[in-house]
Amino acid sequence: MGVSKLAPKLFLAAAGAVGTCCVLKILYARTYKPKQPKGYKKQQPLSDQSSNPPRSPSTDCTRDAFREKKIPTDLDYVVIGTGMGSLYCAALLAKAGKKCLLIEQHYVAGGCTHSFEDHGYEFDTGLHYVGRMEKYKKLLDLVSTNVKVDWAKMGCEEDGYCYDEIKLGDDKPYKIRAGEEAFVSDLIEEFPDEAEAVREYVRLCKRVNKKADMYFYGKLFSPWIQYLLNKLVNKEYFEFASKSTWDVVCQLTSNKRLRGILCGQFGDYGLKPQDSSFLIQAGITAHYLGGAFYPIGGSQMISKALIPTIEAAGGRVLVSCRVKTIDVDGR
Amino acid sequence: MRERATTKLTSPLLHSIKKYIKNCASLRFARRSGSAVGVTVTNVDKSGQNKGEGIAIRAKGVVSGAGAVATNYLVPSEFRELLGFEPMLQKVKSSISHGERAKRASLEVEENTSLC
Repeated sequence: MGVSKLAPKLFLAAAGAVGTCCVLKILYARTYKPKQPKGYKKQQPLSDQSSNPPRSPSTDCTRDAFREKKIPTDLDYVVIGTGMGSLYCAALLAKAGKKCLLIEQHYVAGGCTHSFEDHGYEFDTGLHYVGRMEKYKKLLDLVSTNVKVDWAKMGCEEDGYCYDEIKLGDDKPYKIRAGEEAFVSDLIEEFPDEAEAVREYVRLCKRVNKKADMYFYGKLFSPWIQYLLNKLVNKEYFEFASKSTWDVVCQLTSNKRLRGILCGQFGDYGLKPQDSSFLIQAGITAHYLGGAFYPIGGSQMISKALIPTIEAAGGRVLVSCRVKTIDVDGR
Repeated sequence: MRERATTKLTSPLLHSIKKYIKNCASLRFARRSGSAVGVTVTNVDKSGQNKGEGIAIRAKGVVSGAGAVATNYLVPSEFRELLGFEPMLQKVKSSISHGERAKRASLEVEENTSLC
């Protein structure tokens, strides 16, 4: 049986399995009542609280210091940490009407998207640019209802929205411009004899990236369906994931400078091309093919856009607060 | 009382993401050792030292290490080292479940975390 014939059946089976799991989970949630943990009676400050004061408008939402009186009542979830994973997870829960409290031990929320000022200069701690903004802006806008983040395209019209410069030895820097056409034509102009290798590289990057999408979609299903999908549909993904970037590029071309330029974006993921999987290189190349973007106002704007959504659902993001223990019911 | 946001999840994409987060955050360990029902926290002063006594906060669930769990969930275990995620995961995990600070604070995140 071909993969195309098998796929609908697999998806039907997956849908059935997911549906059954959901019904069982709902039944379990309705019948099960968690017991209170040991020592709960000794520490119950929340029972005395009747109000949930909102954050003062003058307080920066990313620097709202922890105070006992600021803890919202009737919490649905406590989220530890305020990195992008936690903030986005809490914002999604808030969109579903859940009240979340986010706790951060640092004095600023945002994790790797937080920024700070020193001697009049602003420094980012993690994010430097983001690609595929037409896709990721939608994801961010879904959960940032009150404040929207505006993104500026890196570079300018005159330089073709150049977002990366690769300098090899004493050669003049090679500029990578936004857009697939510009990416290919610039490389062919620089290396006229390697036109086929350049085209094949871009084609490979796009193909591997598509396969990666399929692999990640498979994560929505149960492990045995994932296993089947990996065996039937994602073979190529695993094949390229196990090859190093350097091996793939060396197979395409023997031109040392072209190899260097193609692998030059390794700085975005931090591993040498000899040590990195081609999967991550293909992901980075395809991710930035359309150009790179930066949030106007700095990377802190991302957390500033997500926090109001959490607060609109009655939640709060409190900093300078450390979790000592996670309390578990007595089962 | 402020109005609570009750926007329904109409977008299939958003629904998928929510499901994904639920999948990756509801760790199987929670079933073995019980569900997390709250946390005990302390204030931290500017030098990073704990200040004051512990305060218990109760909720229906606790989400911890969302980024680490998501990365752990997304990246195939056999390629983590090759993809460069292994050192990152070790670093994140150590600060949550295996590191000295975590031991001192009696955190058992891996076994206790749940989103239920």
